[in-house]
Amino acid sequence: MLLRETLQKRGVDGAAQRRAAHSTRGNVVFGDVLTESGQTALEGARVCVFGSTALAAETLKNLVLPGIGEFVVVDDGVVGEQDTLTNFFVQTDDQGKMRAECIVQGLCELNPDVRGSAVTRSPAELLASSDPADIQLVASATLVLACGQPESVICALSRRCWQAHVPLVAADYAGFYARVRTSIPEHAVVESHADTPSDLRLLTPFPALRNYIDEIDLDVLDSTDLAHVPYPLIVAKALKALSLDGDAAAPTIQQKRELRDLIGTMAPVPGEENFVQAVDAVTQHCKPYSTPDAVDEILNDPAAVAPLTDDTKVDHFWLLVSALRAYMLSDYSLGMLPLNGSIPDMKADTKGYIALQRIYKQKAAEDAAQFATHVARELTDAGLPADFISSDEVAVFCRNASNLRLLRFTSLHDEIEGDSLCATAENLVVADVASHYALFRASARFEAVHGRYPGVSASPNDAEMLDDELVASDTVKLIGIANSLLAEWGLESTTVDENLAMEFARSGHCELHNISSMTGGIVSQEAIKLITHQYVPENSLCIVDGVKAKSYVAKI
Amino acid sequence: MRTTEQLTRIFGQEAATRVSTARLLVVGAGGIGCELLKDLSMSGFQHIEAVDLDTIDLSNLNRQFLFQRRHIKRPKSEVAIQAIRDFNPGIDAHARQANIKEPTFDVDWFSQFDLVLNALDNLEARRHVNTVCLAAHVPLIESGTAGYLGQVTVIKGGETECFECHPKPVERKTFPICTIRSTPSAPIHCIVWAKNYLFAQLFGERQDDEDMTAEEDAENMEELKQLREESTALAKLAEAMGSPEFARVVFEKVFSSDIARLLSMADMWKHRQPPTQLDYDELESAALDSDFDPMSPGTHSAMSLTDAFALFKYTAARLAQRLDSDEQGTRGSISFDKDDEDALNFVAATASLRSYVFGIDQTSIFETKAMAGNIIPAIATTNAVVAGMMVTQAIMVVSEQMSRCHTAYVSYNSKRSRSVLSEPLALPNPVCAVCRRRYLTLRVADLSRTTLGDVVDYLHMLAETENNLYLGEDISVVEGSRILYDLDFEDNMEKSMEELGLWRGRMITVAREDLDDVESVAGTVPVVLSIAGPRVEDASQPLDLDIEGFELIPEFAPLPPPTPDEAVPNGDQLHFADDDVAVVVDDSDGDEGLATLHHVKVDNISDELAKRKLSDIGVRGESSIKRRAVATDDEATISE
Repeated sequence: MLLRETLQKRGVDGAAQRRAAHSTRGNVVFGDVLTESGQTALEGARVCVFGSTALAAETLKNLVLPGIGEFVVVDDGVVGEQDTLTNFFVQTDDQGKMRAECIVQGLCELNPDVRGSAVTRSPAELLASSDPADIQLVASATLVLACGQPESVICALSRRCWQAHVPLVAADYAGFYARVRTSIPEHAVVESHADTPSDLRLLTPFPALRNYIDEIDLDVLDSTDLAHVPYPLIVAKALKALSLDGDAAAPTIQQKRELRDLIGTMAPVPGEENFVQAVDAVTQHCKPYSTPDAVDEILNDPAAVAPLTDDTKVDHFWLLVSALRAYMLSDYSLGMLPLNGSIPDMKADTKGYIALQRIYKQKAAEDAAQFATHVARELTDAGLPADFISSDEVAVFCRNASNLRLLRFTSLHDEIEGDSLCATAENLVVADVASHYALFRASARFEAVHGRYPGVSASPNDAEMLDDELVASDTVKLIGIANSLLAEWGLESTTVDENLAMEFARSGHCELHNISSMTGGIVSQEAIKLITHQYVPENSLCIVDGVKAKSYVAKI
Repeated sequence: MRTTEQLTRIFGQEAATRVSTARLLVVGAGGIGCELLKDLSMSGFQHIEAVDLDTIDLSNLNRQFLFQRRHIKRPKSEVAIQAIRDFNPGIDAHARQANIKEPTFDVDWFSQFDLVLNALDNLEARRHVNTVCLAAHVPLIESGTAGYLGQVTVIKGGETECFECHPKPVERKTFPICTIRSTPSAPIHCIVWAKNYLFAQLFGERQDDEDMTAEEDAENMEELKQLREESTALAKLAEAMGSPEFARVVFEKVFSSDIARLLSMADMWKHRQPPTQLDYDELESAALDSDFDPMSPGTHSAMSLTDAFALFKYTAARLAQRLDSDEQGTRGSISFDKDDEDALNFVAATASLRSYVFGIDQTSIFETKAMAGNIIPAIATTNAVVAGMMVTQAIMVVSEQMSRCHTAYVSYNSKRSRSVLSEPLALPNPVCAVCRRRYLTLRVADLSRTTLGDVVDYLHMLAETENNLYLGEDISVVEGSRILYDLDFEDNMEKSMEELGLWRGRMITVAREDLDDVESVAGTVPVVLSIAGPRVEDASQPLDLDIEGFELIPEFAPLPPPTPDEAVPNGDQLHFADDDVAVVVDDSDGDEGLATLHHVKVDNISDELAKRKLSDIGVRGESSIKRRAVATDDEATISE
């Protein structure tokens, strides 16, 4: 029984599986990794893929299983023998058929909940067309993937995606090496799942916290009760004793040492766990409040500072940032971000822990309410209805205020056809991928000139035969192109690694299944981050070295 | 044929041939296993055997893409191998549904493979395979994933760090379905049951099974029937939602009648403590006398049975009410969120009740939250990356290019953007109690006739004639923690191996007792004997006793430093800087066997300071810290 048949049988129970997928998918696949909004975004996503070899199929497999809404594969490639060997979704008897159609059929059967379709046209031709439907295919996509596409296609695609603010992830391979690169003007992440340390405000307690600290008298507690005082209280008491609280100035190293010593002496018995926790907390929690750098940058971004334009007006993120900026400038906030209300695990009795938790939660709720009034004002000022942004979204944004991230990318078309690399190529050297990257680019240029990739015989009959002479002469040509590219980018003193060049030529630009499977894992992971706006995607070129089992990143 | 051409191009003819002739054992056909089997078969490997104990469960279908709903309850190994065979008609692939720890899979059986690949999700089995591979002198590729994190490494006895060279956390992340549904033995089993089964079925999205009749056939009819019965029963429970009797209906099903049904299977409780049924009315009246307030339950201490009952009753009503008020007519759903108090308390209460039923230690709500929140699901993307890397390592191992193998990590950290990291394989821990042993095979023709005394005498004889066995006169023989023999304990000498339970597949450790510090004397590490039957070729004339292997054991020569990569001379060295150290933290509450990489830029710092720096960036807990040279990184620099 061929896989196709296996998969068709899977199709028979499609409806049942759809329900199974539905009940298991949301809760089990990403339920604990993504929040619900992320899962909804995934289910509503429409992904457009250019290319249909193993890399495209493996990437899509990882998107179809968790259940993207829809995908379209654009490619006019016909299944050849090589495809049947490397592409799991293509069968031996598929030879001669349209490859895009073959993989769409196989992929759809993995999850009948996902709609897939094939456009069996050449990517170059489709991108050259001015038919509105062809333009919309890309412009209305949630995400576009380019797998193993020539530079001319990538540039055309990048321009179109850039203009439409659609994220584009381009990936290609050469033997044991692969490269991945994302391009979109700007990408905002609210639920970054960043491990921002908890914000206890011990140095500058808010009134309710201040009162609570003052109410408690550690001196009257017996040793059992003392052993169950939550550590933030201990630290706060010690700060007060040394008159270090309420002062914006950071305690000096000397003062921190005194603090730790004092806390040590306060413990009923040396080494009492909550007092140890208090000593440990001094470094992190006894410093003046500062807005995390990434958030500070966002708040001072021209897009946040300038009045909202028509573009930013419809953008939830910038509207909310604008409101957050107003919040931060208000007297209420004292220049501190809204508290998220969570406190870390600690040794404490239940009563004490809950009392403390309640104080932080209460403050977080007050901050959130204040923030909501700023959002309402922004919306009114922008002439938008009050429910333009749902209260849930406002709450999620507020809770993640200290985790906000904003990424700005350079475009792929600038990288390939423009001169953006001249400013950033040094990063390739630093990350030690100048040779890998130059060889990928040189292979593309080689192909544009010779109509074939290095190491691939021009005669189709012996395309699979390894010809040492051909490899040797192509290696020389490849090195020449790569070195001239490096010089173009201002890296005159860097020369390409000749052994690596020979590996590129030897590989004959072939696709290896396991490398495409691994790269597909990386690409689909980036795709999920971009679609869901959760977790922070790579804002750099990523080179996968399958031999070393390593990925390198360089910001270009 | 297959991808041989590409392999030939890149690695040469010899490597390509070895790939196509190598015999591989894949242990585990789950999330990583499905990807791995696909990748191996698509990469030119022709001889593959897969072993997995599990059968396919509904919740596997979303990522274990070789399985379909009609395969539910069928063996994973069989279905996966069938799919691989369907796709590669010429492949020599076999499946076994079995526990890899069964004695059948002894040293001789493992020895037939050129390479073993672990795609397992539980520590116990991973430890076992690690040990047997060391004993059988077969290289092992080890893997693990949890959420966005993953890890791959290569283990070769005496040359590289083994799975147990550094302590691993004991917690498991996934569990056999029967452990969860019928025979829980640890708090985590009850929490998983409460969260992923009871809570999900009652309050999660509703599931309609009407289409299941479509694929019914004789083979799986019984399983489907049971599954359908379970679903019907749960659907009935969900219907009671909104009625004042809801809590009672649920309680009486899962804590009374289900337990009674389990108790009726007497076989199950022969070697286990049987569960105790709970009585709703009894607990309800007891709860009346308690001043426990379910609206603010104590989160830090374990609940009493009546408190757990009261909290269950309260939260069940709360959750039912929330669903009721959410929508009219069609029922909505609530997905578990550890920060949703009702959901968390419901899970904590039901897990606690179940712990009482099965006589398992209680956990506090706080601990439940940590454990429930920590159940990180495997996700397809990480499995794909990990399996892809395993195959590259496999190609290197079978073509004898060990120096090009790496330990690789898939990581995610919002502060740094890099997804795959690797480092050269580490040398064994010189005091590892697992790999710093000499593994020999003890061949015994008839275990009922050979006594422990015969073995000890034989060892004494060998110690005299074979210098490189390094065994003196004064030895001890143990199996695990059981002492079988030492100079002062000769009670077992007359007992046969069989009587002592020393079956084929068991391992006994022989150590010198005449040295104070055994490890410090070169070559005197304890000897581990794997008990095996006679060699097949000797079967006609079986020897009574024979120890083989000692003359073959190499000295513990350190792994030669990685030779500069000939093909890629700008290798690792270029990324190294002396003052750059990656601190690898084996987080005790982390995921199974998964070391987390944290990068701290430091100059000669102490472990204490490193721990403090790590605690500053939010890494806590008892951590073992290893240092590695690692790629220079300008981000995430931490300074005191």
